[in-house]
Amino acid sequence: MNEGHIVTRFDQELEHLNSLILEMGQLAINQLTEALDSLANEDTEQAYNVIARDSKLNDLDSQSNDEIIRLIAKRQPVARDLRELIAIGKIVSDLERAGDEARKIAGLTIRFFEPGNKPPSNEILTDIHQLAEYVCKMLQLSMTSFSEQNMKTAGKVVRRGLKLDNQLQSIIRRLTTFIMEDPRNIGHFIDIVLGIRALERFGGHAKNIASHIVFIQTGEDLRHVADDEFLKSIGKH
Amino acid sequence: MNQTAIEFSKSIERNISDDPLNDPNYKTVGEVTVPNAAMTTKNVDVHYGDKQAIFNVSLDVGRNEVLSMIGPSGCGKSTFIRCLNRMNDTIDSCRIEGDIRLDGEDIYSRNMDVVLLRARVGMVFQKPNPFPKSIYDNVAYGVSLHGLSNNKSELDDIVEDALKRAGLWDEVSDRLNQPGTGLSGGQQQRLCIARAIAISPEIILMDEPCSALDPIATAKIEELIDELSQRYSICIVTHSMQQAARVSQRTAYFHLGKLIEVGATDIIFTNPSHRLTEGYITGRFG
Amino acid sequence: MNQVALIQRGLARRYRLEKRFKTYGLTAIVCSVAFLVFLLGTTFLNGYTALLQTYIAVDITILDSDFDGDPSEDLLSKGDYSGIIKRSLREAFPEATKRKEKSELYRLISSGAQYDLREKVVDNPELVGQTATFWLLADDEVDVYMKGRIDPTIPEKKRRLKDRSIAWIEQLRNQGRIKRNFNILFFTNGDSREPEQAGILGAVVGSVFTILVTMLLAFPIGVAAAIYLQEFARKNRFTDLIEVNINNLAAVPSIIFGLLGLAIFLNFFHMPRSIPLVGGMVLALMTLPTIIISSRAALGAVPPSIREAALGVGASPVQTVLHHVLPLAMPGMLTGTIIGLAQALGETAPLLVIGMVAFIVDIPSSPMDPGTALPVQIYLWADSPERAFVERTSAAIMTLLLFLIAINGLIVLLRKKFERRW
Ligand SMILES: Nc1ncnc2c1ncn2[C@@H]1O[C@H](COP(=O)(O)OP(=O)(O)OP(=O)(O)O)[C@@H](O)[C@H]1O
Ligand SMILES: [Mg+2]
Repeated sequence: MNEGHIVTRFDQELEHLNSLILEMGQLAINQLTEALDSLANEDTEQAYNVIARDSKLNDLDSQSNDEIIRLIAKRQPVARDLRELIAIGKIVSDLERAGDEARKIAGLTIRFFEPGNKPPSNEILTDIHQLAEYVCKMLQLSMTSFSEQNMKTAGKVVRRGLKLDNQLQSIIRRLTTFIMEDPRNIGHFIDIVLGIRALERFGGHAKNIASHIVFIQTGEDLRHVADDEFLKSIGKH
Repeated sequence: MNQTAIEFSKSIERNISDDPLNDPNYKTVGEVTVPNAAMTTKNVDVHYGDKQAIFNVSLDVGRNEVLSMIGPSGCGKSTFIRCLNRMNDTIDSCRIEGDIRLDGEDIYSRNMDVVLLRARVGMVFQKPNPFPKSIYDNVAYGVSLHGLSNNKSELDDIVEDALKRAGLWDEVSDRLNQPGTGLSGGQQQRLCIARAIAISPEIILMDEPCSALDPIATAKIEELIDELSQRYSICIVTHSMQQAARVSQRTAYFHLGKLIEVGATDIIFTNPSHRLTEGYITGRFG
Repeated sequence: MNQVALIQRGLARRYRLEKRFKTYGLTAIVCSVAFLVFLLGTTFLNGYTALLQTYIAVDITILDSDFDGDPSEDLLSKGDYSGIIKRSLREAFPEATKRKEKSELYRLISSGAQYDLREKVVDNPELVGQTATFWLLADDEVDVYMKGRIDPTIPEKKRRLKDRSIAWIEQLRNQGRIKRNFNILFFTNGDSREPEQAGILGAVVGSVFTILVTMLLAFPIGVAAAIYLQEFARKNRFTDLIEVNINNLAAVPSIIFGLLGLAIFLNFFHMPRSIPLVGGMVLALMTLPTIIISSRAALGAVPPSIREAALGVGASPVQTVLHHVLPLAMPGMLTGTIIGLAQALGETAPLLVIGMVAFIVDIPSSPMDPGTALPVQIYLWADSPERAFVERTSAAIMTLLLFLIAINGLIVLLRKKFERRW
């Protein structure tokens, strides 16, 4: 199948849809990095910007949805085309939700550094930064995998997801020691755990996207299987 | 997108010949046999004179199953389906090899009576072809030909039943004596279906039955096929992917005289195995 | 825009061409219609007078002595009616005394008149011993003169009707003793040497028998052959050869078929000469290729989908042909048959060869009786020297045309009956 569709218009429409997705992916990644920046720089204004920009993602989400519905109605896709459209629909929601998670991180900045609030110690925040970088890389990989339709890259995302769990465990353990050191940190602790939880979700969406890409390629739905089985499955193809 | 490489590796890994057209030992992807088949074909080759139109096709038709055949124009769908009730006998240059059995009986053997075979394996053609006779006579012809009714009232019942099942009764009940050729294209096609089912065949072959019909008439015929499949086995050749997807349980993809892939329609239309099948149904040039 | 201009430039030329072509076609049609009108017109003008026949009233006294004094049943038919008529004529024109004058006088009345008179007397024996006025059939020269086709101004030597006869005719006319009646004899008599007694019925009956034989032989055989060749025969060298031969036969001159008939039916099978049965058989041979070719074309024009439909519901090949293909092809086959039969009906040459040109007075009562056919009759009469045969020739032509129209009409009717849309 080296050639595209006989109806080249269909290819163009798919191409356009793909570019929307890549744009969304880029936006979601930017949102997260900017939210982290705002957290690092204690810049609430930037945080507000991030929150405001989330609507852009929502717009892209509905735009992509419309496009997908139109394409299904117009082209009546089957086989790979059908899988691609359905998967893209899901990728879109995952990206939109990932954006929501980024917004939550921006929310943290506002909670911590709004004038009158007591900021947490930097030490507590390092975990967030580390984890954020990690999941951000996951989404980046997912988007590369999407743009190249490359299952190997998708596999990398899943492998990262495997390590994500371990990381979370150790972060929680570390935070527990902080609380024991200074029980006044308990307020921040809950916020931080929520932030971490958001980042974990962000990574989960990245992993979902990877599984959607595998679905496009193979038709196998791997979202709900254990990660090692996922990897085995990819290896088969 | 590095699609080609992926597809290629996919083919290699699933052990699918990538170039079935030049591979004389090409083996169809998917399950060609079904348990308790109504009709079985094995290693069928068809030649028109020197030209080979069908290459080593094996395909079973299951009981109460709708089997759709798809493929590019000239790939031999009609040729194959016409082998199943020996319609190809009418073509002098046509030569058929292989093994085709109806209920285990070789239909090309000397003992097989062609008339009986065609009564058991009915056919509906691409172009509606009612006889230039009345609507009633169109349906009654095969019935009285085979002596399936004992008297006039029985014949009337059979005709009415066939027309009802073909979804045509309400439209023609008050003009049974008018010529069948005076009906609209869709009505004519349903008349031809009524004619075919009036003699209660075991298998109905349909060669692009909806190619000349509007969506409503098509829908009516698809509904009819659905209903008929409760009682009969149906083979349908169609150029409409959607139609194949809608009506059939199994789908066979032909390409240049070879049966490339056969499988459950659900699978074929969501995740076909062969790149040619995929290319064809998604509208890419394979 | 440029393209529009380009097309427009050519348009005028294209329309001119079209117009010219239409004109050619119209001219051709006008020409053929003109020829047809001329042909039919002259035929009719020459022929319509043959529908009338001149009769002369003669006072005839039939004496007992004409029958040797004993006018019994038996003897009535043996009387010398010719003598009676001659005597009556002498009495009517006593001025004719010389031998030559007398024979000229006798020639006013047809030689067939005596048989007519005899019939009347036999039917009414009481006429014997009485004097009655009888309308007697006039001679053909008198008839021709009465129809104004003899110019009395040309020198007497150059015409057969002499001045003296013309005077007598005029005298009779003035006395109201001459009249013209509808010429029934023409339609009830067979051929005769005497134009006034010559009729067309023998030829018509001969033609009917001939064409009946032709139709009964050629149509079923032709249709059967066509069906076999078109529907059942495998295509191979042999059938190709047959096909080529049939096409060639259609172009063979008809006289060859006559010679074939002569060789086979007469010389080999020793069938009688001059009979419509043999004529019909020969014409059937001649018509067969036409019927076969057109029937095959008609069968070939039946859409294959109908055949497939019939085979598809389990009809056998023969049933398919008989139930579906043949009814649809019938109109076309009948058209071919019309053409073939019309051709056969007008055919002379093969009939000449098998002897249907013989002079036969009796009307055939079966295809086994010697007879002739309309076109042969036309040929015979056209060849006769008597002036009166000219109009009869034309009348015979009209009869033949009517005959053709009747046959065409019949087959068109049949065709209408079979014609169905599909
Ligand atoms: N009567 C015939 N004589 C010779 N070749 C034939 C004949 N009928 C079909 N063929 C050839 O056999 C091949 C298969 O034809 P077939 O009609 O089966 O195709 P098909 O798949 O039904 O196509 P379509 O979708 O256009 O109906 C074609 O290449 C065609 O040219
Ligand atoms: Mg076909």
